[in-house]
Amino acid sequence: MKKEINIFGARKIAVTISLLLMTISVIIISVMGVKRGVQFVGGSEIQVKFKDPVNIADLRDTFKENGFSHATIIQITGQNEFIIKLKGKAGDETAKGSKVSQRITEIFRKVSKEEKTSLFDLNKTNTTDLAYLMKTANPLKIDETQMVGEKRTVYDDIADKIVQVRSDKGDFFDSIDEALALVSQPEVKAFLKKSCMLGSYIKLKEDTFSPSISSEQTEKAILAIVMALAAILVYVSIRFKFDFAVGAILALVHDVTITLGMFVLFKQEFTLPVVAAFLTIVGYSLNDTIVIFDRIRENLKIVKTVPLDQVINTSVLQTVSRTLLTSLTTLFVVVVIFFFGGLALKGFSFPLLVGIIVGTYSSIFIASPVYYFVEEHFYKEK
Amino acid sequence: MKFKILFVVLLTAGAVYYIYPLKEKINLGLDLQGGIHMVLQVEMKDAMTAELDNSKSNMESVLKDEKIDVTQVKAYPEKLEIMVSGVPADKVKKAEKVFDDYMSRFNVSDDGDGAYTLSLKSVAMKEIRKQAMRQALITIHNRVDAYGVSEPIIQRQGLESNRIVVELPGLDDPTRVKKSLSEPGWLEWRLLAAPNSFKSKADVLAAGNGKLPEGTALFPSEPRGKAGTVVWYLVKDRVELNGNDIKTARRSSDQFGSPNVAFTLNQAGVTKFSRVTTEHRGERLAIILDKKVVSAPSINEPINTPNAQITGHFTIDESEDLAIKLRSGALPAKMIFLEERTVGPSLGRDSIRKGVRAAAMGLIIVMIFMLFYYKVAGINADLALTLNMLYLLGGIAYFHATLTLPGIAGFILTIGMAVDANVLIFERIKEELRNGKTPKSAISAGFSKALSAVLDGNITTLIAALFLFQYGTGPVKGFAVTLSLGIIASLFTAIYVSRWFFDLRLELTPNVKKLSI
Repeated sequence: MKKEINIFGARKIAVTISLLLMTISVIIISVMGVKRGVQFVGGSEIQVKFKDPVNIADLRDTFKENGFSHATIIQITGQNEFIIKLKGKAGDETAKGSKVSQRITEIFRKVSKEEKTSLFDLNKTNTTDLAYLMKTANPLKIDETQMVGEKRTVYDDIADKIVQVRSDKGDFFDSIDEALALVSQPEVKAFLKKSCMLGSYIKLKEDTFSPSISSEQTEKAILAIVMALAAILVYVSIRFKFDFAVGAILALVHDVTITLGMFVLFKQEFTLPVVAAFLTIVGYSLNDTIVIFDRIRENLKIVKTVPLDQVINTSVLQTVSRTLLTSLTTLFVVVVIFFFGGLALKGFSFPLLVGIIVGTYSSIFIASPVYYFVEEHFYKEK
Repeated sequence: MKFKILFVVLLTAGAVYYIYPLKEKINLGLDLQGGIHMVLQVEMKDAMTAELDNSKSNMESVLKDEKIDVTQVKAYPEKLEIMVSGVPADKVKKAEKVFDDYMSRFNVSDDGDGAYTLSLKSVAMKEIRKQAMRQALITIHNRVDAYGVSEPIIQRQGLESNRIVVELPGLDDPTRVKKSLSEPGWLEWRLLAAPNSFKSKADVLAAGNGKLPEGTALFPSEPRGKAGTVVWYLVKDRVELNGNDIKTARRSSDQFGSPNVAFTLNQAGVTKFSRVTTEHRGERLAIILDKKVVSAPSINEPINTPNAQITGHFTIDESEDLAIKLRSGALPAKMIFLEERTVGPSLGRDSIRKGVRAAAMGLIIVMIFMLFYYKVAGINADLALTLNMLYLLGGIAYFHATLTLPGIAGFILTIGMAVDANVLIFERIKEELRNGKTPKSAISAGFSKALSAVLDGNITTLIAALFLFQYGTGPVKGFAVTLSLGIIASLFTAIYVSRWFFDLRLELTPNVKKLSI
């Protein structure tokens, strides 16, 4: 055999670095704690957008004055948008919860200086509500049997158009006439003119989870990750020998631990999509490991006299280009999601970003050494 | 070979057929189209307690009628038991017969000294639970109907659970929806002002010169049949009975076994009902729930007792539903709201815009990279990737899966992962070429030797996706679905379609010495 780079020889250094990183990760996780999203702690999270600039200090003060001293408020950088988080309390799931929601509405109204009227808000409405408003008044005198149940009417089309245009121009109409210009029927126009107003804030999103369901969700999330790990262990030990499986699983534990450590260090929030991201890491970071193991297994059949560490080294070198290439293509798209996928997907793509990098490293430097160690210490006598 | 081409062409045509036009064929999740998602829990304790109270008062009146003087009858809702004590020694047999005849939903145990414990049978509990769930589902359906929501989802979460998932696309005010769901039903009984129903509102107005007769009102029936036909009833303004007058209602049957609905009135109800049935014998009473006529039975005879029946040509399900509707005038089992998510109309549109942009960027970057790195073979991979996207979308449309925001992320992720199989195979082919094999045998060796690693790697991701599917709710489920479909599609395109492209190239230039890869 010609002389080749001894990548496997660096295993001691690699394992030391990894152990260090894992220890640091565990310390970070236990000291800083995992910041759990509203699904897992219970409570409400509201994303609100104001028409005119609102000072975050004013918003905080108004929340405090109204008895929500525990509210966390953050502004989305560069936007007139805020995220408000409220911890849940027992009993929020009943009628009392609606009152909380009403009080928050009052706060938004006050901060954005929106008049209180009984008119219909053309800035806040979604399609079904707007269509329903027109259907009940029925200014076009359409036969009512044509409006029963799920039948589409001209009112639905008008509502769709208004909401679509509003969303395209940045969520707010500046005047009622601007909205009415989209309506061609004079009867509908007249009706909307007298029954609508324009609000000065909108809720982009509002999530509420009762404390009982959130603790249940936490348990289920942990269970799902553990079960997936176990199932993969079973699969790998069926397809490969058990010593390979140990290597693969330890590499996975390594990936998940370090990713979680980074996740906590960068103050990311653990939400439902993040569970999805972690499970994807569990499934995906194994791919590269399998490619290497597959090659080791193949090479072991061909060469019987070469020492194991040398076979491993050759196998790693033979597969290193594909290990890097496959990770690279996936990394491309994850980077794209992270930077261009919008706020909601940022939290999801962060662990993937870390996980794929760490996973590629562990496939090359961790999985095989563990396999080698197990093989040398427990199987050699055979 | 010809057969292979045909298969791929057919599959591609099928995928295009299923996704065209894209806007109508792909179901968007609530997080993308905006709307309200709620998870409610029906409080079974309420339903059980109500059953217990009802049985208790029923039994007390029977014991009184039978002249059995007991010291005490007490209900224990937390144990679901009724305790009877102090049954006189000479009336023991008679009392036991009462328990057997009237308390068939309970297990009776003799505690000695004329004391008995009646505990609710588990079969009965199951029945009550089923009824309470059905009542909740029907109530929610009725209320939601009023909003004119298109394609609402109202379903039990799992087969045995007490939870109901409600998804209302296009609504934006959860407070209002919650309020309307937790209010008791608006139930009224009124006399018909005209003996028969009308086909349309216009018919009624035509009969009265464009006006309704004095002292009457017009109500539609519930939509019937697949066509959703609605008829109209002209009823008097006066409300004869309302929801509070009815204590309970249940499906029952007459002496011939045909289904009917039995209901029990409270004291005030009996007085009112007795008067109206005596004075208006032969006329029809409309039962109006949430402003819709659910039934309009004729008054056959005066009724002076608390117990009455509505007979008709009911199926078992129809009588059950009518009983539930009669009951929903009173407060049904309480519903609590476990989870509520509202997405406004603009956030979803914004997410779609950004998602589509990110997908396009990802696709372009990966495609250019493959071309750059693998030259002509890169075209193979890119074609396979394009077909993969097509099949993935086709799969989502075909299975009526819902595309959610995490689903879009899964879609983009698939772009990056789908070429992995190609990379593994191409690298192997390159290696075989380096070992001196001819293009033809290198291709064949490359595909067969890379196969096991390709399969194993993808199957582990699939396993993780399956667990995610099983665990996840709504949006996350969408991710698991797109990821799984994407993996399956990519296995097919990388192993089968891309192979076919190679074969095609070899066939066109059979004596090729060098492979551009």
